[in-house]
Amino acid sequence: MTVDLIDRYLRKVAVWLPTRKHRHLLDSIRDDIQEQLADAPSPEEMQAVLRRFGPPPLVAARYLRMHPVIDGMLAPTYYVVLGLSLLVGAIVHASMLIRNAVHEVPVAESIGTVAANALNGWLVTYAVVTLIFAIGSHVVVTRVQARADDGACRR
Amino acid sequence: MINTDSPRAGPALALELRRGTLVLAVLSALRRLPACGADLRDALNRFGIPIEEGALYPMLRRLESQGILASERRMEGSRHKRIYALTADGDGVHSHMLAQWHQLDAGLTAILEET
Repeated sequence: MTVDLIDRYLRKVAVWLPTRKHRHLLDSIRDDIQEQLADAPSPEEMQAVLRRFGPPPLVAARYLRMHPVIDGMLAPTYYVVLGLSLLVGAIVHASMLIRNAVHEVPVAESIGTVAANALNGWLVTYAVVTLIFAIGSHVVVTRVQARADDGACRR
Repeated sequence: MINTDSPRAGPALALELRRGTLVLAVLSALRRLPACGADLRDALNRFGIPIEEGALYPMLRRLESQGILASERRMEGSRHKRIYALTADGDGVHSHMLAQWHQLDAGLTAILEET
């Protein structure tokens, strides 16, 4: 019963862990939970320990040392670049409206086509800019972390 | 998003302050005596520094992966316990953090006394 409860809890935690770190982290979490248990815990005591340990997504994040997708250091640049990219997209699509007017495309048709293209363009721009900055953040955070860990070990 | 200009940001800022202080508290407690997570939690609680198990255990694992703590599994009664102790590097990190803590404390005290 006790093992069932832990297994069920660990399965929920595993959902939030990357596959390559599954085994190592789940073993650590299992050890840490079992250390808190009395010799023959009742299901109620077991559930209380698991409740205190935290909800599975939070437990996964705590053991993974998760970082924000966009690091705080890069956030101002990210917002400026994203804003400018969206603005350029808006200008390009607005110019398409003018071009359509010159070519005497019906107004409703022109607005519908340009709006659909603009929406697609903005979504792609948002995704691409966010992806680039997410990769940049990952590189920055990994380097800063490595330097901090190195410094901690040298002191 | 939290508006840091608002008084509602108080709890979030207090949490931020507490997060860094907890690491120093954990290292200080382990400097006195190596301990397992449960005993460490009890010790901190006795000194008026409560910490959730869900925050303490991952913190211990992280500090171990950074070389600040070392651990060994021991059998106590019928249960395995992971006993954590400060490494030589960890001792240096603790001294460095403690010096910063004293410096901040002295500065803050001076500011508060002056105002």
